[in-house]
Amino acid sequence: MKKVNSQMKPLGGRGVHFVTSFAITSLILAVGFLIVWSPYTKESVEENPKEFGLMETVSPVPESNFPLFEGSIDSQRLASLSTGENSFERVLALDDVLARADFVLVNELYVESSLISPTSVRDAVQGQILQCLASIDPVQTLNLLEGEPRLMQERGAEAVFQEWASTDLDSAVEHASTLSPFFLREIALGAMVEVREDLRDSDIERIGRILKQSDFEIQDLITKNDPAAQEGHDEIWNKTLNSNRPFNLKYSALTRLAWRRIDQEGLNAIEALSESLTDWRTRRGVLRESIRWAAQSDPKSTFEFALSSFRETELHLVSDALKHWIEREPENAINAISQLEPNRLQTELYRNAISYWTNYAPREVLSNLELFPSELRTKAQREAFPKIRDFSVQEVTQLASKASDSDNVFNLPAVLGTWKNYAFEDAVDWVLENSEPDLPLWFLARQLFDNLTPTNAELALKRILRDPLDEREVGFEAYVVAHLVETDVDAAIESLPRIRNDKTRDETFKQIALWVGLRNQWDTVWRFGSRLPKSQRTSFYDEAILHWKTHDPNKDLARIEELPSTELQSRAAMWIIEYGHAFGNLSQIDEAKLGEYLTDEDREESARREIRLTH
Amino acid sequence: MADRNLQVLKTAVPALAGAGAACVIFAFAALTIVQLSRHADPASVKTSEEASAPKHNDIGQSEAHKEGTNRFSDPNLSRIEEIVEIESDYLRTVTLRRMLADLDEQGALELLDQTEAVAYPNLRQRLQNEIVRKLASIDPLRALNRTEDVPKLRRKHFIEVVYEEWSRANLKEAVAHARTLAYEERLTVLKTISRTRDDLPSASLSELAHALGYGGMATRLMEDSIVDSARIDPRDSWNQILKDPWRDYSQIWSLVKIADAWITQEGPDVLFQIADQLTNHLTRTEVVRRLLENMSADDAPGAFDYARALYEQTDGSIFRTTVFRWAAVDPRSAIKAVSTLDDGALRLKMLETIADRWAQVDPEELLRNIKAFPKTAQMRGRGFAIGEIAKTSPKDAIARVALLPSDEVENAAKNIVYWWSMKSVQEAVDWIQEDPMVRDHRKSLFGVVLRELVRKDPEDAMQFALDQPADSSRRNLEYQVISTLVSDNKIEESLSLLPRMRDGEGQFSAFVLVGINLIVNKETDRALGLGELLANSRREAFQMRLFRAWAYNDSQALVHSIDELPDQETKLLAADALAHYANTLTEDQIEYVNSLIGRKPDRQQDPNTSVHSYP
Repeated sequence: MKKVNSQMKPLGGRGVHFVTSFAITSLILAVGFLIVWSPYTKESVEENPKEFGLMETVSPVPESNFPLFEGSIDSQRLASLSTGENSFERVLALDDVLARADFVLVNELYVESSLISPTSVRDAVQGQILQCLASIDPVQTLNLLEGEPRLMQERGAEAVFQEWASTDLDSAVEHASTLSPFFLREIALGAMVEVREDLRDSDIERIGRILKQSDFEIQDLITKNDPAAQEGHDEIWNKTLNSNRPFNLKYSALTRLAWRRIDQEGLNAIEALSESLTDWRTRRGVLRESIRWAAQSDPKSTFEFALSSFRETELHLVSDALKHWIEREPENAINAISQLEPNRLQTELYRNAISYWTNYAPREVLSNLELFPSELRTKAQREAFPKIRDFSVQEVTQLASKASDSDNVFNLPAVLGTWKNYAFEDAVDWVLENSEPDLPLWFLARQLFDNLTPTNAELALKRILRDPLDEREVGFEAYVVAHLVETDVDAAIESLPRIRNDKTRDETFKQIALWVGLRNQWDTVWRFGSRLPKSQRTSFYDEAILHWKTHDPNKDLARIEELPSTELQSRAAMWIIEYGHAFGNLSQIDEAKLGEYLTDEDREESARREIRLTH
Repeated sequence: MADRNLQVLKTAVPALAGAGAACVIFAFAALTIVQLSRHADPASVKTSEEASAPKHNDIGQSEAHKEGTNRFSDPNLSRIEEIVEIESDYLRTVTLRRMLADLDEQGALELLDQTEAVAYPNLRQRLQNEIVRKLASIDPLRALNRTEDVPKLRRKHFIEVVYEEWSRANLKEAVAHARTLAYEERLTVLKTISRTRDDLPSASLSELAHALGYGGMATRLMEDSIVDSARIDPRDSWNQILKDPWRDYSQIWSLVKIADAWITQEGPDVLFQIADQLTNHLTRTEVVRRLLENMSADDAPGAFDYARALYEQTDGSIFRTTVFRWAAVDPRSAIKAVSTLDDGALRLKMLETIADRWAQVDPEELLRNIKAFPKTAQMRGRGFAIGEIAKTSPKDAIARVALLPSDEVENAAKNIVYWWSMKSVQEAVDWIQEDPMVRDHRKSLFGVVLRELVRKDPEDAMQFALDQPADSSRRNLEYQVISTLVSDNKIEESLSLLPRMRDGEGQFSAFVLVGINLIVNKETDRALGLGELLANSRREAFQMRLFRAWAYNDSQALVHSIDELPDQETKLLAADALAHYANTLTEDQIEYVNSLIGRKPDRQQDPNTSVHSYP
């Protein structure tokens, strides 16, 4: 201590000045430093939540009041970043800007980048920005993508998960398993697997299952990332072809490999693939998928290619290509067919063309009938009419008046079958006003009232009952009620009092008995019959049973047991006995068994009939 | 005065020294803090250095990235193996680009050589792409020439990178060189230019496609370009695609993508405009269906309301996915909504969909609420629910079956054994054999479990089938063993089991099935040889079936093989089969076939018709 004091002493007042000055300066600097430094410290914590363990609690959208960076980069600058002729320099410059920006600014840049043109440069700039955002905060980057069009979401998710998986696979997988919409999970899985090449197949399968991907998606991803896939098409193709995978997985993997190769090499790829496909099942499927895939890009060339390569052996491939061409340019496709040698192939292609074209544009076919050979024009009409969904009353009338009777027999029911689905009341009106003697009502009614709903039945009845009916005529309501039984028995029963005369009522029961009898709908027979008065019920049951009978007593005997009422069983037994006697194929034992089902009344009637038959 | 000044100086020196010392110590301390902070948070480096860093030079000059400091660059890295060590995909890429910025062409090429040692193919490709981008920025042609020796697949990536650069810098020169490339490579060039130069008018793109030999691809490329532009202005893209000369029906996928972006931008009400503007019914229905499918992932009730509003313009198919998804989260509300549909058939179908889906999601709850459904939906729902319960507890599911009406037992039992057999096929088999409740349905239930038995052990499966009472039907259990193997494409295994089959229709059908598979796989000798294993009485029928299959699949091969067949009877059978497909033969061949059959062709007949039509 003493020594120290002795050393201090010579300093005297100068020492005091030194210490005082040191202290004051230090204090000023420290205060100044704290003032300047504190916002940086706060920012660095907020900017890198992950690093500071705040990842789980950080708010989805960061605070926007970052003091130093706000507004330091503007749209003009961004525009200048995107206009360089040299993309390498442009990418570098953007790297540099991004390196200096925080999440909020990078986000602003992303928003501003939507103004960049041309699209390809914008895509490149946005891709780079998304990667940067993902490196700062992948979760928030994904949040920002919400509400974007699907294309943007896909690209964003790919960028995020490539980056995220490269640094923290487990968290990336965990988050990917919660992604919605679901298609983003597939994107995420693909991105993660692409960047994490250290994953084994079993790891990919495990992650794929966590993300609830199908076996097909997982296997495709494994194939795509197989080192052999990088070597060349043939390497991965042969490896997959000779693999021991289940057939459906192998087939799916081969199909996708074929698609990728076609994308890169065009139609030549199909030629190469077809040489290696010797197993017919795989060959047929993979080649069909390949032709369809290629035809989506260039149907004309694909058709010509298929024609030159497969016309002798695999004609279905030519038809598959034709389908796509017809869908895109039907006139050109049919013109190409007309240039072929007139033979079976040409006829078959014409027929296919009619079928494909009428499927999506039946009216166009009708107005282009001259493109087809005369012998196929009727076929074209017959295929087209039922597929037209917007016929007007005038058109149907015109069609009926122009066509020959034989054509109408085919065309009118077909038109009605479709017309009723979109303009039911118009169709009913038309039938009531235009039915001809050659086209009986029941024939047209069959098309009109098939699968009749109670609502439509009510509409039809209201319309039908508007017109007067002579006592000697059968009213159209017979067919409405008869068809209504098929869809709603109760509604049909409730409609019975609206039938206007006995002749129509008889026709109604006859029609119902015919339908339900032929279809073995005994529950319906019983439900409907049980609501009728006894006299009508018996004749209704008899009519239905007539349509059921097989004339094989053994089978009929077994069925009787299933009938839902004793009255119905009795009527059925009576008729089986009667037919058994007539055909002589009923044993005494069976007759005795059947006799047990007869009610007293029917037993008497049966006896009477027997006497009559004996006479 | 001098003394006074000296005195002041004497006082000031220690004070200044103190202040100076404080400054030095503070500066050191501050730097340490900054350094520590930088270490903890790389992002904050930019903030502390921003103040002292000079303003950026013009964007695009390579100096800019050199002088700016950031969180990524590490000037000490110089080799690829160091770059590869960087964990973050983004950081790695940025660091590589910074490294490349300092290199000339030779340096970049040396770096490219180093990448060959990178083991992971995707990583290698990504690194190489960056290097080739740098090379292309110097001289695209030399860059392309440098990649001439790399495998085709990898070169494709380089072509893309080079042409992205080249087509922007000098399109004319780029296209001129592209004409000298291989045919497949020109496709890559075309797609790259189309993607990169989306500012080109469609006429120029079409011209380019023709110049590169892919004229037919122009349509697809233009369509893709329209779809891509929907991210910016979907309404404009929509109008463009409607106006283009190609049928909307062939563009459904593109229409959906554009409409999806439009809905994202302007809300779901644009669905009405979309539906109105699509004039083709099928196209409209398909596009609306897919859009509602997307919408229902987030808002099924909302999608249902739109479906109802658009039903008149489309058809019932637009409801399905919406109802399916809604049923999974809130089946009661879905039932309520569906019950208000006017169309009875559609209503029933949708109620069935709800029951099916509810059964999958919560089978117990469905069973408690099954009365809410019409009868057919109840039957389906109960069957599915019991199958679902069987996935976790077959015993519980069996207890449920005991409560079912007799006509539902078989279907429910099939669902149980289907799922049970996947977990424990033997337990499922034991149940079928032992439980009297399913005694009447054993055959059909064995049919369900047989597939799993075959996959587990085909030999045991065949033995199991043989252990069951003989069955004369064509599709008996033995046949099903063979057909399962064939459908799994295991022809060799099926061949080894054929000799064990018992005589009968099932055996004959199985032989025909395997034989036809061999025929279409061009193994005709083996196929015909199978007949030796059959009884004499069946041999001719077997050969006839095989020759028919052969003639159908490859009549030319059969014609050329006919002379090699062992005897006249066999030749006659082959000729008879060929006669069924005469329109695939030449006139000489038809004459030869007829000579074998002993017929004289009528020369007046159309040679394209079957020889069977000859008198």
